[in-house]
Amino acid sequence: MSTVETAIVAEPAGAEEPRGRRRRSVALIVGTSIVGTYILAAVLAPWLAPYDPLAQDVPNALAAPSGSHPLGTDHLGRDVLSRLLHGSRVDLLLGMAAAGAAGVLGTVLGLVAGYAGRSVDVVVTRVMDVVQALPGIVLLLVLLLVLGPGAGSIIAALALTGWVAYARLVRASVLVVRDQDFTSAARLAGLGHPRVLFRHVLPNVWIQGVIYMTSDIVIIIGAIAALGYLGIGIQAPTPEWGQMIYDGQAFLASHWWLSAAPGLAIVVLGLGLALVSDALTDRARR
Amino acid sequence: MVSAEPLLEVSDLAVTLHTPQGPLRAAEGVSFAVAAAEAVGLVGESGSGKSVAMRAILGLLPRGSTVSGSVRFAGRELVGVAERQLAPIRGREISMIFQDPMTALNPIRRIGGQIGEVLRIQLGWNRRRASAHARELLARVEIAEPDRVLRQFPHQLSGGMRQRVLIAMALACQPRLILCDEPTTALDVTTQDQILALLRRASDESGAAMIFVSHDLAVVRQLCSRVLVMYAGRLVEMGPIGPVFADPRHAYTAALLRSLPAIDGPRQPPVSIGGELPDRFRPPSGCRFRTRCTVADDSCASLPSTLLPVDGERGSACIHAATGLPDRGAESGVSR
Amino acid sequence: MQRLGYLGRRLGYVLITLWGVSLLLFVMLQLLPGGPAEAMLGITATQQQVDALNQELGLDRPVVAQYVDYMGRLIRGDLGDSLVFGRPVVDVIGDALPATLKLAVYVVALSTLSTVTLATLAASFRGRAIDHVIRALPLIGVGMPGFWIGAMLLFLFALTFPFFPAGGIEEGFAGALRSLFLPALTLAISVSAILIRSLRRGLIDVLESDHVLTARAKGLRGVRLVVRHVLPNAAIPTVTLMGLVFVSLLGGALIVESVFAIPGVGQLLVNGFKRHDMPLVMGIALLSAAAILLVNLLIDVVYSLLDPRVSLR
Repeated sequence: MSTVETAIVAEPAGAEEPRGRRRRSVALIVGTSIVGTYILAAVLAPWLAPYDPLAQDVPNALAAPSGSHPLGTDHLGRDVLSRLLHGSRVDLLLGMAAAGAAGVLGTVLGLVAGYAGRSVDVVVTRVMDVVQALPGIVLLLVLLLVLGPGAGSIIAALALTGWVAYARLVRASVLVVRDQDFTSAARLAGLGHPRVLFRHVLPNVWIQGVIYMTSDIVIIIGAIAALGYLGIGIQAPTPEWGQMIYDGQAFLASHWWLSAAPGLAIVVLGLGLALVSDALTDRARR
Repeated sequence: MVSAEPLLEVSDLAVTLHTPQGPLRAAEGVSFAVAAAEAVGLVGESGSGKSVAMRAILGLLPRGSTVSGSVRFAGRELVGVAERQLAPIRGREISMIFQDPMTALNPIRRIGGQIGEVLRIQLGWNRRRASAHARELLARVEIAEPDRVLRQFPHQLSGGMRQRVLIAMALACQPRLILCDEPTTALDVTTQDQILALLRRASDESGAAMIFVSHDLAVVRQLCSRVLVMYAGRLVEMGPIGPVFADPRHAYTAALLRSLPAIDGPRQPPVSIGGELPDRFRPPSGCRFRTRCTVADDSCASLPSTLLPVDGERGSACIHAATGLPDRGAESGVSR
Repeated sequence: MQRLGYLGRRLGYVLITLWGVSLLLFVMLQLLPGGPAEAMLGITATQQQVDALNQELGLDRPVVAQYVDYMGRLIRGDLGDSLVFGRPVVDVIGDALPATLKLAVYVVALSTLSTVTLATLAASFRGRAIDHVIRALPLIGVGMPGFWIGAMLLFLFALTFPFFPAGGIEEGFAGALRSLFLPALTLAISVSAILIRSLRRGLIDVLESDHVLTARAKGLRGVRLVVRHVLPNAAIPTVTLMGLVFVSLLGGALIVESVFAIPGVGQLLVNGFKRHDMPLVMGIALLSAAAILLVNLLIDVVYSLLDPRVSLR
């Protein structure tokens, strides 16, 4: 176990003092509370939201925050709080689905590259180099051109863009684990390749993957929101944070909260996930 | 004594280091003086506080350390003085040579630049003049092909070469005092001898005073005229080399001497000092050596922490010093 | 000589990867639903128009022949004609490039300045309040979408307090400096978030190293000590991160250009995407890959120049 971790974790362990350790567990609690709140909000959105997120009320458009509309209304008179809550369903679900898909794809390809021999490894590594030579957003746009619009396409495009990091992580771990005694022992005992991979290699690397995934979700949600902002993501009128920021930007001077609120939603979620990721990294080292 | 003011006068120096386990009193009650052009040895086991005391003289202690007492150098107080006022003294009037030549040089800068730097900042020389003098200094520390070495990086040199470079750096501004913090410990035996010979010659030629920190009594005997002995953060004995070596007045010095393989005189097997260094966070009361001392009695638990004069030039913190150590010179009590 | 051999091999690797990128893009083109021509013209196009465009682009020929043709044009530096602009893609990108480059240079300057300043502050006052604040910044910054930071800066410093123009790029050096400040700051915030953390760690390690003690014993102190003996050493591990940073910078620049209406390559990409201008999107993809690969090569060279212990082999 420890050899795998030292091979993966580049930064030296940070917590030198017991005080630092306590701060870490506080960070983990705060982080999980934030993320938990978001998940809860997403699940309970239909019950928590005071209005239908799609219901327009044009005469009452661009209302300032008040008792009946805590975050005001947008340019079509839709309740911003309701859209924000429903938006968490879209962004969170899409983000987790895309990160999960990228993780699975990357893990499989990483396992194959690390275990299947030199020629396969060279091909997979080359493909990884090619994918990483393109900025994420550019590859994303190219893939979306091919896949067409829609949530499924966005998840697929994000997975096809984001798998490389997982594959590198898993491949490196496999290379370390492969040469360790217990794998050879398992091989000697007559266990076949797939079995060795899933019974002995995967349990040794999945923690690293999960830790990376917590920070990856932040990046992916940022990308989803960026697509929404550019008007090429989830199609209107579905409430989506990036789209909401874009819609609000036209009214920045007078109604700054229209853009600020969905952005803050992303920032706080990002902070929560970063805290969880940091604390988990720290735990895994010990 | 009515002689001229000493070059360096350390009085009641105490250093507290900030450690993860809490504050550590690394040295206390340290008082001694060094005259111009004098070579003084400072010996003790690792962890005795000798390096800390040296670094305190130049204000080069780790973050969070506190220093009290006084260090007067040529009439100027160095303790509690701002970095801005210490910097012009460092490397120019007092220079320091560190223990590990492998890490003491900046790995990404050329040797010539690193030596020339001290001349440029302390004497205001231009690059060309500093570089020419750096070449001369390298030749003086017996480096063959100084022109090539000037252009090299530290990782291209051996440990002995690097220590020569550091000595050249320390000599560059012709300081009046050189602090050597175990400069040969990290080197192999042959290189050690060469570096020691070089240091002795350098201090003779330059007329600089030198404090030579070492855990090795034999080295100190070769190089110094006077010796200070430290144990668990305190000075326990001092005096001229000859008398101290012939007739130690502190049980710890005596034990150190016994642990030294004899060079002259009848061959005896070296004897190690029994026991371990006391817990530095909770030192024993009175004499700190009493937990390992073979002659300690009840009175040792209430000893004054200062050196008491013995025979004029000498001093000892052992209350048995005046009466003489009971086992001094005797065959019995060497080890129990 | 050794260095030349290394550079030759690395350039070979860059070319192979670029070829991989071009192959990937070619495959994408082939996979387009309804073929490239239909995708470009949209569903309202008549079959006649589609056939005409197919013939014009040579898309009615066998795949292998198309590929040979595609590679042949690439090698000549011909990325095809933009459908929207009706001009060679290379020219269209060339016109937009200066704005993006100005922005990129500005970001590099701003983020270097802020990273060095903040990391040095944090490292020299480590454990104190200012250190904790600076260390917390990346946690917040990493989750901040660039376009949102941009929108908020726009609101604060262009609309509420009109220090800076709300968009576009003004003439002249001073004009560019003023009008690009907010977009550059937007990107610098995300870039610094990554770098401050790494540089702070590096600085603390170097500050505690023996050679800094030697330098202090020589009489160096303050800014001179940091600039000569601490920062260069501490920067080495951070330089290896720059490749990663450049990629995120490039991606971020493309979006931030939309926020601030900067007529750069990013706007071109978004507009090209929205109007299905395949040659333009593909051309930008290929050129950005080339830029990333070359910057990575450059970073390796800089790394070896910074650290004499590293030899390029």
